[in-house]
Amino acid sequence: MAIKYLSGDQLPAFLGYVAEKARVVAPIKSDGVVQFQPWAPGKDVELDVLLAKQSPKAFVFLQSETYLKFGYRMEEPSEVTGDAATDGAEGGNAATEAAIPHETVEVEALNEASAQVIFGLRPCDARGFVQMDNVFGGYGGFYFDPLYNARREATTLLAVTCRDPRSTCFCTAIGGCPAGREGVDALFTQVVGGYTVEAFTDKGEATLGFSALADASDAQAGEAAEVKVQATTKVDVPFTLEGIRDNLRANFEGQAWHDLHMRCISCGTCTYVCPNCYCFNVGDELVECAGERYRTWDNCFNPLYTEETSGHNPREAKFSRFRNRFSHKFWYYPDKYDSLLCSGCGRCIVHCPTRIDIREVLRVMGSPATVAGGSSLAAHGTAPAPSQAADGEET
Amino acid sequence: MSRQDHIREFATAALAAGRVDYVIGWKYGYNQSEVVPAFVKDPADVDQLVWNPLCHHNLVTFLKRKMPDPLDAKIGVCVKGCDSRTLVALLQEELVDKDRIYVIGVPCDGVVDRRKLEKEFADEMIHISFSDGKVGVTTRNGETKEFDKDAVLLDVCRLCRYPNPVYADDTAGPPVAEPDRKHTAPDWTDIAEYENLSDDDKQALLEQIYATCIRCFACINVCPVCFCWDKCVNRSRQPELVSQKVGPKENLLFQMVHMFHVAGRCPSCGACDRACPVEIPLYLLHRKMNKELYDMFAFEPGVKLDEKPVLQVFDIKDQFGE
Repeated sequence: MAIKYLSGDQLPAFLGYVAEKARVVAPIKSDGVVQFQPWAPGKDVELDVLLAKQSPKAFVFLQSETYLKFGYRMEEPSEVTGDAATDGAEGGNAATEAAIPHETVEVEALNEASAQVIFGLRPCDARGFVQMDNVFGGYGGFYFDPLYNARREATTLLAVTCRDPRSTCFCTAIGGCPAGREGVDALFTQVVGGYTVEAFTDKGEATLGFSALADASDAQAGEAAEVKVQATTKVDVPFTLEGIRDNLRANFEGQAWHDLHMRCISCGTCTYVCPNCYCFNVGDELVECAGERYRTWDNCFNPLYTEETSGHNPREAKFSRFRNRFSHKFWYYPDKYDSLLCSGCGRCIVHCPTRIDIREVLRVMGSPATVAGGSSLAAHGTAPAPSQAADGEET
Repeated sequence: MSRQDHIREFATAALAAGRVDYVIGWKYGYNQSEVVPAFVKDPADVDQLVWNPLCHHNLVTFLKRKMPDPLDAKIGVCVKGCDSRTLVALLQEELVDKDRIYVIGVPCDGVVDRRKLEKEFADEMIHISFSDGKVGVTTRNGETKEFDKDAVLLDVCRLCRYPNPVYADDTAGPPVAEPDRKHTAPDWTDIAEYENLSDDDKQALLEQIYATCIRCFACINVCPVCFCWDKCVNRSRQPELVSQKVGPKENLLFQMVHMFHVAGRCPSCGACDRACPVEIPLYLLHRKMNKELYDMFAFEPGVKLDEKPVLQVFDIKDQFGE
């Protein structure tokens, strides 16, 4: 499709047009904090701050979501006496049934997904959805998640090219790009006076019926191309992916994990700001005889995350939880889905209370065992098969 | 000799003598606008250690149970005034073994609020320097700006009554000037606005500020006196005592549990505030609780080693007077 142009002052009108058919979600600043929020006319979209605190994953994979309501009703056996038989309201059969205690269970499944358009996310955020699709979308027929997929289906992603990537961005190091197309339905690029707009999918195309969208001039298209090239050259490549899976496996017992994890406080910030992390837990809440089943985000730094019913916890030590996050993203997940579970947005670095740097971790642990120190499982011939990692594999 | 030199000297000596397995201090992070906790095992690495007004981390949290690696490590730790009070609170309850730690006290004249600085720039900060009460900031695209340090201090530092460590084995340089604690009561003006609200307005305000909480547990895990962090009632699923759902009411309950559990130990060091990735003003409830304790019992948490935490003793005089 031809490249379109939207003038900057028409952006609110464009979002208003989109909002006629779907909920619009966009990065909005409130109390000095930029987060993705439902947009309404009059709210300013904040695109000067490169990344909202969190990726917009919470609008597709909700932080907590009730998906089942249930209730019990216990019918107590009534006294079977002559009185019951003479009771006009109950026949003979009813009297017999009432003599047996029985329980009625009512279950109602909830799965509401209405159309939404997420505007102003970055290509790395969009890529996060693609990687979550692998897990929730039935990749290889393992598992199909109706909650996630209903929302994902109803969601259109209108990304904006990163003009000025941060020093903590590393999308190009893992195969992404500040103007990446993966998962993006339509891409907006800031040029003088407005945006060029390119749709890559039918969903993206469907949002572009707005009357003030004009065809972009050659000069505008050229400028957009230049912005993309400039942005790409600004992104650092802080580590190499070459051999990273093998090296992580070889370094599984490496002493350097103990050194790197020391300042980790084992909170879940990195996973909750991450566009890719998708772990969740399921719980029931019951008040008297009515309850609901819900799921909430969970994270591998939660000490209870791997605690077993027996009380045993295979990842009792903080360092082993730390090791899991990076190994999962660059070893276990790639083994299963042949793709990385990271899109290089750098949020985990910026928002970590102690600024643990994933780039540093991968530079050390993704290097051959001599750098990471300690024993090498591979060298001792005891390397676990990729799909049976000793540390467990998350799905 | 600067405080930084003192810290390095004490660390070198303690490591060389085998007194500790590692020393926890501060070092620069991925650029010179950030300071992160440093764990130094080798005397050759002590030059990493820095001391400047960016050293906001309360390192005492790395002493609490299940945090050290190995678990029985002998640890040297640098503490500012507020940090030392959290350490004393842990020592009062024998939650940290005094014989396993070596404490380097660092008199502190205030830590700058990096988030205040961050909001002054559209670009990202890459270098922050300090001289003569001024803070100089350089951004990635070369913009520079200078601020008065006093204008960008952390709010908790403005109200600080204990700038010098109350407990230390060695102290890095001479003490800084202290307020006259004997004759002046703490300054609670920062929470006056909250206190003047009606109950309904308080409830509404608290639900509003906690609405954005993402339950990452950074506030809890970074808190030195939240020592059951890995068995926290807030995330227990069996039994499920606090709802795991996110929502204004659920989040408020979650934070209330935190506040009550640290009452009497929390000196409002503000570590939770700074750790919160979504910038919730967590200090509010903790300060309020501190005020209640001060008004009722004239108690300031973590000040004297031989004192018992006020909520763990029962004195009949408290209820009925002398």
